[in-house]
Amino acid sequence: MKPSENIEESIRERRYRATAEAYDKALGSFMQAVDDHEKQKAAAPGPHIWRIIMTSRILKLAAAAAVVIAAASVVSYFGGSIDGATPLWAIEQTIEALDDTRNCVISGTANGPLRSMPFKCQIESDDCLRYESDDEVYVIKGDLSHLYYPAYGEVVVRSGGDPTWYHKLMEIRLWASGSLLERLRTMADDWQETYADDIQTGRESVFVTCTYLDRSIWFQVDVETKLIVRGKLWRHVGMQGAPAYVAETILYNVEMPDETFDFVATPGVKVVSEEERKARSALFDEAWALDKKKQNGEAIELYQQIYEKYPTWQWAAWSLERIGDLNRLRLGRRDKAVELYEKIIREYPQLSYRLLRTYHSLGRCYMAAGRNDKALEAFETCLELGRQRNEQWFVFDDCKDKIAELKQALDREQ
Amino acid sequence: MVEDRLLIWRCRQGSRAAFRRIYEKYESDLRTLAANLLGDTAAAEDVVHDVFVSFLKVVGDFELRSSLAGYLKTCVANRARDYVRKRRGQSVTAADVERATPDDGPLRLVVQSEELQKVGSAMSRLPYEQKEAIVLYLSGRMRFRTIAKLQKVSVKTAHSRYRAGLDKLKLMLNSEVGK
Repeated sequence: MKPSENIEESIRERRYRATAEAYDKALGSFMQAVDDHEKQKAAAPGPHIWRIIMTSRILKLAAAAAVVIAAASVVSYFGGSIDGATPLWAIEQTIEALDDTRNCVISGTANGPLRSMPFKCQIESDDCLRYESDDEVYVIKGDLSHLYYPAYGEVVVRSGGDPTWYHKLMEIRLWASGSLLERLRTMADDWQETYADDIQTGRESVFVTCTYLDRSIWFQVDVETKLIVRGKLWRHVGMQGAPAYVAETILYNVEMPDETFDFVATPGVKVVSEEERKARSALFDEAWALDKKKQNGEAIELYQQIYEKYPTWQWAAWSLERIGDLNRLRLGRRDKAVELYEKIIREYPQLSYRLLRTYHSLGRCYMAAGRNDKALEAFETCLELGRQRNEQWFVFDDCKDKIAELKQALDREQ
Repeated sequence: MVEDRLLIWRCRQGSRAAFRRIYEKYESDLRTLAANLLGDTAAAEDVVHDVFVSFLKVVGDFELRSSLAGYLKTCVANRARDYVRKRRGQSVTAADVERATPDDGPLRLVVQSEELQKVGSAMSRLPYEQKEAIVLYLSGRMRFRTIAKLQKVSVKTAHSRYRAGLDKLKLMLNSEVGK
């Protein structure tokens, strides 16, 4: 068929798609813009919620309706249930009970992209928090935040609060703060309460499920104390798969040492100041802008500077990998790329997530160079490193395809 | 439509997942539209990125009057036109359309057949207004009324541009096949 015969259909069919890797990067860049925008929004003082309600006619009516419903609920609660089958509990009691607590300690499991690990989170009032897991330690006291990454051996200090961390930590605090629980009750969708006894303790409990901002939440309230005793949170709607956080025990009014919310850096840890954090971010942005414009030489120079000046920064290994990618994909220098990927493997053995990509890229280099045995080894190492990873990732599918292809080629060679 | 309204509402609450969902939902169509308009995949990537970032900035005051897809496509068309105006003087050639290969830059152009390559090459030689009318109608699935509004011309003119563009394409392609 001549192209002119069905030209409209030909034009409709023209689809342009990014590779999975390019798509990941473009999406990552957009999500970074989202984060930056949210940070700016959080930094700017917004109108008070009451002012928003009172300036909107519809919201004013909705608020009035909510007050009437709340009042009706209270009346209903004090009246008790007729047949006595429903326990005497209302979420407002839990909000009040949480507000009366001095502090709490949440222990449980955090399921990261690569592995699951135990965490402990100590919370006192609304502005003191200490979260510890093998991967990260956050300490927030008032406006001062410390974020320590043991794998990178550096601690980042921030003042003036940090909305990114706040969002992460809010996920854990949802069960532990009266004010956040109140907000959750108002804003959540699909709120459901189930009354049952706790299988382990036999205590009367209420099991609550809801969704809030694309998170699914489950928590258990002890009817006698009115306090939340366990919780789970998924970062998607629907409770499939492993939750991002499982709060296995929540203890209230625990004796805590005075220095709990003081961050003390262990010897040998690099402390990154606010100025240094800004300087290295600016350098990275500049490198990325040049990279996007395909000014490869200049971009490589800046990525190299990032690696040399800030070797412990989490983006140093990324920068080195990007130099490898630019050599491989844009400059056709596969040998140089192999050299760089091997350098990452030597110098950053602790960064298992980064190494997944590095081994994948290394495999592709070797495969393109016809070194099938080395390529097979690299793809298999990538899969091995990703064995415990909790989610699907295109790299793994690609590795599996390439391994099958390489095995066939090696069989033919033999 | 209902999902889009909900997503926009959630975006206003600062939901990363909602922004991500919108991106995932529309990125592919917008990229295709931009690449078809510009004939340059790298520029298309920039245009789509800019459209999403500008959406992010206005979402707080955004009122969805028709469809979100329509709004985003209009933004892509406007930005693509701005891009072409800035680049005027530099010709967009068939080589721009065909140069992207798996290892050439971050984007891969998936050309489904030789015929499609020829169509792309011919389209790059059309006057921009005609090409825009064709792409917005066929690839963007926009109505002539919307295209006319976007091009600030009457519906009849938008339709004429589309027909004239298609006729030229047919001529070009027939002469190529005849060679």
